[in-house]
Amino acid sequence: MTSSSIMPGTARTGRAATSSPWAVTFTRTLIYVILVAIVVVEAFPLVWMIVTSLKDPHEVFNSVLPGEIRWQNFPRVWYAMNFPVHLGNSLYVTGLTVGLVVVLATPAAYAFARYRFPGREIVFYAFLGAMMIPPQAILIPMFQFLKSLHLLDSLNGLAFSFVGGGTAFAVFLMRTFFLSLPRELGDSARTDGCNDFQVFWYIYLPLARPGIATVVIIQSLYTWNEFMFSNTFIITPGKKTVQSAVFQAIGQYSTDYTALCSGLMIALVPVVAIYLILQRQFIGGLTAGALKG
Amino acid sequence: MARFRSVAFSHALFVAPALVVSVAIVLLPALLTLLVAFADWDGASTPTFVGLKNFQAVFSDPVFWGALFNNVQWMVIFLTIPMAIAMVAASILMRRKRSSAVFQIIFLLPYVLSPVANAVIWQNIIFDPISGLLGFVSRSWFPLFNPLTDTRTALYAVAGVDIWHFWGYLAVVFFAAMRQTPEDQLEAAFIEGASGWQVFWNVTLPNILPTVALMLVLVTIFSFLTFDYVYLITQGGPARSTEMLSTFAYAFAFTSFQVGKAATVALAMSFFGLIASLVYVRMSRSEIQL
Repeated sequence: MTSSSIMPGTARTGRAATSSPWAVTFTRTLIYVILVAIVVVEAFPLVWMIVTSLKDPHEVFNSVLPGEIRWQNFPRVWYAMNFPVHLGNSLYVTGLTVGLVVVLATPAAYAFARYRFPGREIVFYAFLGAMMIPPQAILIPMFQFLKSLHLLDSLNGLAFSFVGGGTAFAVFLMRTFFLSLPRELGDSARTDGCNDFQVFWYIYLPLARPGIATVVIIQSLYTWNEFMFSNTFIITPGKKTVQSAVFQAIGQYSTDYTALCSGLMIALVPVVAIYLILQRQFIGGLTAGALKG
Repeated sequence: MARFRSVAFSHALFVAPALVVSVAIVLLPALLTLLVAFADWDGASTPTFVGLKNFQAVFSDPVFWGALFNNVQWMVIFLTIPMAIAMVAASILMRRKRSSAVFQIIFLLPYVLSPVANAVIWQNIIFDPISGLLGFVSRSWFPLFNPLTDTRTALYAVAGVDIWHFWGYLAVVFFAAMRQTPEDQLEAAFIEGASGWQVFWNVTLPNILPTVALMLVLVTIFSFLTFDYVYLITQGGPARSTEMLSTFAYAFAFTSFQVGKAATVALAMSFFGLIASLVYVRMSRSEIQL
């Protein structure tokens, strides 16, 4: 990374030797055109949604910009769609899922990075299987399973259904992180009289915070945005998560587009805000598993 | 293996809770799918073993083959279009390192938003012939038809929305991989007068090839499992033109309560995903390894 600042200069001299100034100008212009096109396509639907959410219902069909900005769509939808309840439900499910995943996965990941224990290989393949089996494949038995445990139509049951796959994924993510921490710290703590648990708790756990943060971010995003399980396992309208509630509201608000857009805005704001604040960790976490050295 | 100091049973206790949860919540239901696929079950009464009857019924249903064909089309589309867009975008970011952080945030934004929100935005705010952008353009400038209501175009329209949401993830991953290209290789290529295209083809691409291959496999897995956007936007219609294995299984399970057949379809789609998953595990050895 340190030498990256040298690169553009080197690149320019290299290219100047072989290509004409016209070619350079053409390439630069092309790059700008592509970038602008991408940004417009990516952002346009979102901008259109924001603009619509601020319109008078009558303006939707015949004008591009609102004549006058109408914030009142937001309070109208906030209560009509019962947002406080649904946001609360989503927050509860996300918090419970993320909490359980971190508590379960962190010690397991640590053990895989540092210890040998009986049945290690079988356990490893069990986690691998749990990570690779997709939610789509277990949706139907999960429904029956939750029903038999009387956890169907319950927020706890929904969180429960997310914890299995989430834990397995987090074990692999965190294990890589623990492997990157120096062994010597644990060794010297052990010489000073710490037992295995104390080494984990006092030495490695505090150092694992960035790894835990990555798991929290990825798992929160996934759980908050999840649709298939949420929409299938929760039946009572008052227990629905934000995603499922917005989906149910589409029919009801299909003629009231300003309300629909305002509702979407309310549903999106928490995720977008957290994404913008933590974007570095977000991008780091999303690319963590995909890079190969 | 020198990295292990001792073999102790107590160390298994660190793993036990996570293992119990993963087995109970994922592996047991998966096993149940396998069993139910051989049973006739409405989800409430006692299931009866019927052997291969579900498989015979599902495999002789033209809807199943139509859905499988749609999944294959989906795979071909996703292995090419978002890959190409992401590769171009990541290459451009490599030349604009200072502004790359901002562009990454924009590229990834739709990926961060929920499928429900993205689907509603496109279905009601863009594609809607009355109140959407499509209707607005049709009335003001030139007539457009709604691609979601035509059996010939619906699949591509839904795929387009999913690509809009997904490609940014690939771009960010490719960009992160490209940044790991050793500087000395790039410099050597430029000093020898290689053009931008030659550098990409001979230096950058070989370096990021493992990441590209991994993404191709992941996209293949997702292609056979895709559910959210199809269910949210068209629910398999019009006239089953966007039916996928996942929506087909879902309808069996929750509309006609033929849980056995639903499990059979789920098993079929997992089979294709599983083949790709095995390739994935082999390829990501360095990452996923004891």
